[in-house]
Amino acid sequence: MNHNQPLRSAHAADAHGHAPGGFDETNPHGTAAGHHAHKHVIVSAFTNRVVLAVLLTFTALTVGLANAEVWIQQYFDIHFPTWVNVSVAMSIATVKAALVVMYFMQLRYDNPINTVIFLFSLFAFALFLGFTTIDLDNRGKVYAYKGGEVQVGGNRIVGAKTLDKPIVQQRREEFLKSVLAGDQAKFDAMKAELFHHRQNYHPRVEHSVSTSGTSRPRGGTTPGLFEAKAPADDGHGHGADHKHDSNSATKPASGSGH
Amino acid sequence: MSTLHPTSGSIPGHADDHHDHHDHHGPYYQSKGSFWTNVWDWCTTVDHKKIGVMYLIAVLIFFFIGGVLALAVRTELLEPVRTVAGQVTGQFFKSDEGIGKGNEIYNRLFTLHGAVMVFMVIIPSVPAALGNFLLPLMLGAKDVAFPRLNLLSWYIYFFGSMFAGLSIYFGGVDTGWTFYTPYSTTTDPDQSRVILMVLGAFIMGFSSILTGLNFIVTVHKLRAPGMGWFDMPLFIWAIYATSIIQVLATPVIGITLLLLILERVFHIGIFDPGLGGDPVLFQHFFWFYSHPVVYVMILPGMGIISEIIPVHAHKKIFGYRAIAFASLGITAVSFLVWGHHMFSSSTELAATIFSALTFLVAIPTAVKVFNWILTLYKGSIAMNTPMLYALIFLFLFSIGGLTGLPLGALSTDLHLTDSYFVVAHFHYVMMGGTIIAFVGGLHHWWPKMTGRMYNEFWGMTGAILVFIGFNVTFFTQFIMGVQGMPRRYATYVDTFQIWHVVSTIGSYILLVGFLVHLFNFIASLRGRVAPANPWGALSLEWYAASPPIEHNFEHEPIVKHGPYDYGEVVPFHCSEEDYPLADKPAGASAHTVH
Amino acid sequence: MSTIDFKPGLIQGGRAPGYETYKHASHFRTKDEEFDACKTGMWLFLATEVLLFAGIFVWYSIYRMMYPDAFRNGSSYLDWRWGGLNTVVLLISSYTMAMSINHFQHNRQKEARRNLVITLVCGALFVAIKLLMEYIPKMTGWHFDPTMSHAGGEALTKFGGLFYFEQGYGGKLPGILFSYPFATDPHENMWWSLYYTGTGLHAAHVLIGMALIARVWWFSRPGVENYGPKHYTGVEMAGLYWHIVDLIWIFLFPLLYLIH
Repeated sequence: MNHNQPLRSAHAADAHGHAPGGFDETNPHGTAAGHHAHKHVIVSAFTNRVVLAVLLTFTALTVGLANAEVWIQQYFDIHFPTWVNVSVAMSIATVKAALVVMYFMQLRYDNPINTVIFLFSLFAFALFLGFTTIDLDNRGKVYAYKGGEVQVGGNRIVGAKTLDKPIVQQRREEFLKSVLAGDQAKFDAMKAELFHHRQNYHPRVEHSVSTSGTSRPRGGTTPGLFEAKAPADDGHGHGADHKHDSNSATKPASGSGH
Repeated sequence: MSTLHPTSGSIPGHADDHHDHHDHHGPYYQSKGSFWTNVWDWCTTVDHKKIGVMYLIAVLIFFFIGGVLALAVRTELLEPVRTVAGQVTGQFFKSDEGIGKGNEIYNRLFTLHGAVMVFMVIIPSVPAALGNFLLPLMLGAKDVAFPRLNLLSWYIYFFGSMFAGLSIYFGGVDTGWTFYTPYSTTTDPDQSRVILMVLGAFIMGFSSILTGLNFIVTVHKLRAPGMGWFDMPLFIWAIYATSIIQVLATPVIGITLLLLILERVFHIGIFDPGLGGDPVLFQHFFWFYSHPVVYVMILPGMGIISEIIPVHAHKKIFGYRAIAFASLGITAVSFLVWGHHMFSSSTELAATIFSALTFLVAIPTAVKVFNWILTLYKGSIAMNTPMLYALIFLFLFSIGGLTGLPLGALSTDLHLTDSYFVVAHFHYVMMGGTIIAFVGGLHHWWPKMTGRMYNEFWGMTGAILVFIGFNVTFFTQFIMGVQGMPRRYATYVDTFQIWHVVSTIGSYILLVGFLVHLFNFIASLRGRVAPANPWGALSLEWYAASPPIEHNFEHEPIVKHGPYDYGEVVPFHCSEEDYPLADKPAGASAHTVH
Repeated sequence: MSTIDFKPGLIQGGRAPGYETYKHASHFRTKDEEFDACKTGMWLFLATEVLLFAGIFVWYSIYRMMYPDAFRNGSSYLDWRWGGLNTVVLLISSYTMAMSINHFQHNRQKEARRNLVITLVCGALFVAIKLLMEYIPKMTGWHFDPTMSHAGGEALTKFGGLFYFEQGYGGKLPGILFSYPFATDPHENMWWSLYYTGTGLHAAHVLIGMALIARVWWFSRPGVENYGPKHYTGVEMAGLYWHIVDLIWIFLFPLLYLIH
C-alpha cells in the first residue's frame, strides 16, 4: 500500500494534469463554476433600525385591527366572518416573520441552501397540518354514522380515575361546595363581580356546540368601555342561563366542527 | 477519465499544518497507552470511525436483546393460551396473579421487542453505525462537519437507551411500540415505566436529529476536491436522503412524546378523550414521524445494496442518477403517506387520499430494484457473502414491497389491518430489507473497519441459514394473516397452531444463522489481514488504508473519476492484471485478493 | 453593506484577542468554509425547531376547529397588553442581537457587549412578564402589584402587598389541574393546556437562548475577546437561535391573544 505514490492510472498523462474546465484543487467543489467564495455580509445598523421600526409598526397594526374589529362589532353590530380576523392577523405575522428572517437572520444575503432548508421545514409543517386537518375535519362526511358521537367535556375517564362530571362542571361544583359552602347566590355575585371588574378577562361567550363562523366580541381594555352591555347579553351568546348544565348530553361530532 | 491521485503536498490554505499529533499513521484504533488511557480516549473521541464503531457495538448489543425478546414471543406462541377445566395451558410466561397477568407479560415482551428493534437498532443501525464510519471516508473528508456534535449524539443515544433500559428494568411497558393513546395514557397509571420509555425514545430522537444534521452539512461542505454531487457513491445519496427525513420528521416525534409525557403527568387532554381530546390526533402526530422513519430505516439499506452490487458484480451501476433521484423521491413521498397506518381509524376522505398517495412509493422503489437487477446483468458476479446478502435483499425486499400494495389499497387493508399479514409485511421490509442489508454491508466493510478478512465459508453458511430461517419464520405469517390471525395476542384458535410452530422453528434457525455470523466476526479479529482494497472497489473508502489511519487519508484525495467506473480505471491499490480495463481481454479473476 | 474596518491590535497582557488567534477545525479547508458549515448546520437545527413547534400549532388548529368557542372564550381571558408588551420586548431584543453582530463585525467590542446585555435583559423581562403577569395570577389568583396599592386593604397580601389574592380568579391550570370555577365552556381546560404548553415550551426556548447569549457574552469579555471581525461564528449561531425564538412568538402572539 503505497499511500504516498500516485496511483496507477488508465490515462497516466492526466494524473497530475488539470482537467478541462478549470479544475481547482483548492476548491472543495472541484471546479470554479460550482462554488463562489462566501462573502461575509454586514447588515447595516440603519437597515436593522428600519426593520425594527417596521416590526413595531406591524405589531401595533395587528393589535389595533383586532381591537378595531371588536369595536366595530360592539358599536355598529357589523360582524366579520372568522376568516377575516384570522387571515389579517396571520398575514401580518407572516410579513413580520419574513422581515425577521430576511434581515435579522440575514437569510436574504445568505447561502441559498439555508433558505431552501427553512422553506422545507415550512413545507413539512404545511403537510402535517393539511393532512391532519383533512382527516379530522371530515369525520362522518361520507357516511354520517361514522361521525360517531362526542361527549361534551370528554368521557371523564382520566388516567386511572373517572370524574363524576365533565371537568369544568366538576370544578365549579367543588368550588361551590368547598369554598362557598354551597352558596349559589354568592357564587353568582362573585362571578358578576369578577367579570364586571376584569373586563379584559371576561368570557363573553356561553358554551354552544354549533356556532362558529363569526368573531366574538371580547373584553375591552379601557375601563368602562363596554360597561353599557351586560356580560352575557352581547347578542351572540346563548343567554345567561347555564347551558353547560346539559354538558353530559351527547352531541354529534360533525356538528361541533364548522 | 483518469484515476485519483494524492496531492504531493499540503493544499494552500488547508488547515493541515495546525495539527502536530505524535503519530497518526497507524490504524485509527491503535492503543494510546494503558487500558484506562484507551477507555478515556474512546469515551472522548471525536473520530467519526471510533464513534461509528461504538454505535455498531451498541446496536449489536441491542439487536441481541431485541432478538431474545422476539424469540421469547415466538416461544410463547408455540401453543395457544387457554383455560381447560380451570387449568391454564400453553402459557409459557406465567404469573402468580393469573392468566391475565401472564398475557400482560407477553404484551410487554412484544412491545419491548418492537421498541428496542425500532428505536435502538434499526434507526441507528445503518446511518449512525455504518454511516458514521463510512460517510467521511467515502467523501474523502477527514471527519464529519461537527465531530464534537457527533460524539454528543452518541452520548444522547446512550443516555436515551439507558432510560429505556430503566423502564425495562422496572418491568417494561405494554403499550405497543407505537405508544398509542389511550394505552399509553391509561396503563400503569401509578408507574413511571411508560414515561421512562417515552422519554428514552424522545432523547434518542435528538441523537437522530443531530446525526442527520451533521451528515447533511458534511455532504454539502466536505466533499473531496473534484467530487461533484453526481460523483458521490449512492450510499451517500441514500444517507443524505435519510438525513433529510431525520431532520424534518424527528422533531415532530419529539413534540409528540413530550405531549404524551405531559398527558401522563398533567393529563393535559390533547390525546385523552376523558377531557375532550382526540386519540386519533396522536396517531397523526406519531405517524407523521414514524412513517418517514420507515424510510430512514430502509433508505440506507438501499444505499448499501447500491454499493455492494456494482462492487461485487464489478460493473458500472445502471442508472446512477435514477437511483440517486429515487432516494430523494422516496424522501419526498415519505411525508405524504403516513395516513395509511390509520386506514381503520381515519375518515374516509383522508383514507382515500392517503391510499392513492401510498402507491407513489412503489415508483421510486421499483426504479431502484430494476436498476440493481440491470446492474447485475452481464456483470462478473463474485458470489461472496456481501453479494449473497444483496441477492437475499432483492428477493426479500421485493416480497416485502409487493405485499405493501394490498396493504395500501383500502379494501384489502381493512381486512388485513392488525393481522399477521401486516406483521409479516413489515418484517420482510425492516428485517428482510434493512437488517439483511446491514449484515451484508457489515461483511462488505468489515475488512475496512477492522483490517481483517472474515471467513467466507462461514459467512455464506450464516447467510443461507438466515435466509432459510427468515422465510420460514415470516412467510408462514403471511398465510396466518390472510386467514385472520390478529397480531399482538398470546392466544389464538387451534387452526393456526401448525403455522405458529413452523414460524417459531424458523426463528430459531434465524438465531443460529446470526450466531454463525457473530462467531465468524469474532474469529476474524485474529484472522487474515485485509488488504486496503480487497474487493477492487472504486469509492474512496477503499483508497484509505485498512483500517484507516486517524485522519482517514495520508493526503487529501482529489477525485477524477466516478465511484462506479469499473473497467475504465484500475481500482486503488490493485494492478491492471487483476482488474483489466474494458478494452482489454478479460484476464484473471476480477476478485483476487492481493 | 460596508467593508470591515478592522485594526489588528493586542489586548491586555500582550495577548492577541481570541478572534485573531482562532484556528478553524482541521477538517475544514478555510475559516469561511467552517463558518458556512456552521450556519447551514444551525439552519437545519432551526428547521427542527420549526417542526417541534409545528406540533403546538397543529394542536391549536385542530382543537380550535373542534371547539371554536372554547378557544374564543379562552383567548378572551388573555390580556393583549401583556402579550403585546412581550412582543415588543422580544422584537427589541432581536434588534439588539442583530446589532451586536454588527458591532462585532466592526470590532466595536464594547457596543457589541452592551447589546448582548440588553438582549439578555429583554429576555429576562419577557420571562418575568410571562410569570408575574400571566402565569402566577392565572394559576393561583395571586396578582403581582408593584405599586403595592392593596397593602392594608381587604385583600389577602404577601410580601408587603407586592402580591394580592383574588378569590375565584386563579385555577386556570392545564389539564386535570384545572380548577377555575367560572368557566363557561365545557372544553375550556383544553384551551389552558394548549396555552401553558405552547407558551411554556416557548419560554423554555427563551431561557435556552439566553444561556447561549450569556455564553457569548462571557467569551467576549475583555482579555478574551473571542469574537471579532475575523471570527464571530458563535455570536451568529446564538443570534440565529434567538431570532427563531422571536419568530415563533410572532405567530404565537396573534394566535393566542388576538384571534377571536
